[in-house]
Amino acid sequence: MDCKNISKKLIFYAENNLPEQDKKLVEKHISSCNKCKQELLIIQQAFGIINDEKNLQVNPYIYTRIMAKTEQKNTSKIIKYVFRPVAVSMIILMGIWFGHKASDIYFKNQENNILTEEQQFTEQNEIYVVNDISYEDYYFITNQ
Amino acid sequence: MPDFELIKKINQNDDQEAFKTIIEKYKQLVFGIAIGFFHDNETANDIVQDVFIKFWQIRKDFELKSKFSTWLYKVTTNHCVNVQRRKKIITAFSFLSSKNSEDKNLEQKLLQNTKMPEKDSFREEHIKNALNKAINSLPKRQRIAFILNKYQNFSYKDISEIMDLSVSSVESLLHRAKTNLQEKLSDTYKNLNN
Ligand SMILES: [Zn+2]
Repeated sequence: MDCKNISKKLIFYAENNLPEQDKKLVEKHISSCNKCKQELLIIQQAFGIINDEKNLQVNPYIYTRIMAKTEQKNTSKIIKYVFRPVAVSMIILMGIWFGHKASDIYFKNQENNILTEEQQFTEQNEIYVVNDISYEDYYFITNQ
Repeated sequence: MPDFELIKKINQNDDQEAFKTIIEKYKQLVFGIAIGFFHDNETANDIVQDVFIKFWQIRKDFELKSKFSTWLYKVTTNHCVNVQRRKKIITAFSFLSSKNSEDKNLEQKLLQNTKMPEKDSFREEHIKNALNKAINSLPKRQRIAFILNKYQNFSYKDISEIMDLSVSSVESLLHRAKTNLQEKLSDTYKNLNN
């Protein structure tokens, strides 16, 4: 049998998974063919590498690591759903405060006291912020 | 305690002790599969972590339709394939700017051997690289079947359940996987002798 046909069988030979007849053919061939013999050695070595990898052990502290991660995820959820809205509300409030300051200066400089579109928009924001904070208060109460 | 009772405890009472028991029971198996895909301790540990965190996150909606282990191996192989795909994309991009990291590692290891060039360790490293590349380049289903079979010694029947295939399909997948590996490893012989 030629090298090409033998080569196809080598991996099955290496894992002892060939019918007796084929096994004998391979053995006969490699006894006189160095190239196929070397190929077989590579496969056997490759299987040895797989066996070595099978002995690797998982991190013994993996449970602690997993629990730490799940708690971290919970904390980031609290940050996401509680602290972030609070922080956003604070920023909006500060924005409104600056808005008022700015509008005071603006209106002091203006003779007439007609509501501008800008001011109407700010007032709408104010209502939104009040709702938002009351929602956050509610959240804290229900989670205590 | 059987798996379904542990799962029930986790599912209904957020029972961390039961969760711990499940992790202790299956962590090495999940790790072994991940090693087959990545050949790297750190990545394999990350996979174990991801898989169990995922389970903990979905525990409330988790329904045990088949064996828990089958579900777990399915999730593990899917996750490994996805992570591998992402890593391949990253490697493809980094290849544009620098040399392949595997080649770099090999070069570095060889440089570290400042004494006599150790022919055996070079050969071993070369075969290891070739084997990992060969496994990674197998088509997805062949790769999964091969890893489950060679790294975990799962039977054809186990693999057929994990992969939702018939036993004969698994058999033919494995046959093709091994023939492909044989061809790729033959090239290694040529490279080692050039
Ligand atoms: Zn030959």
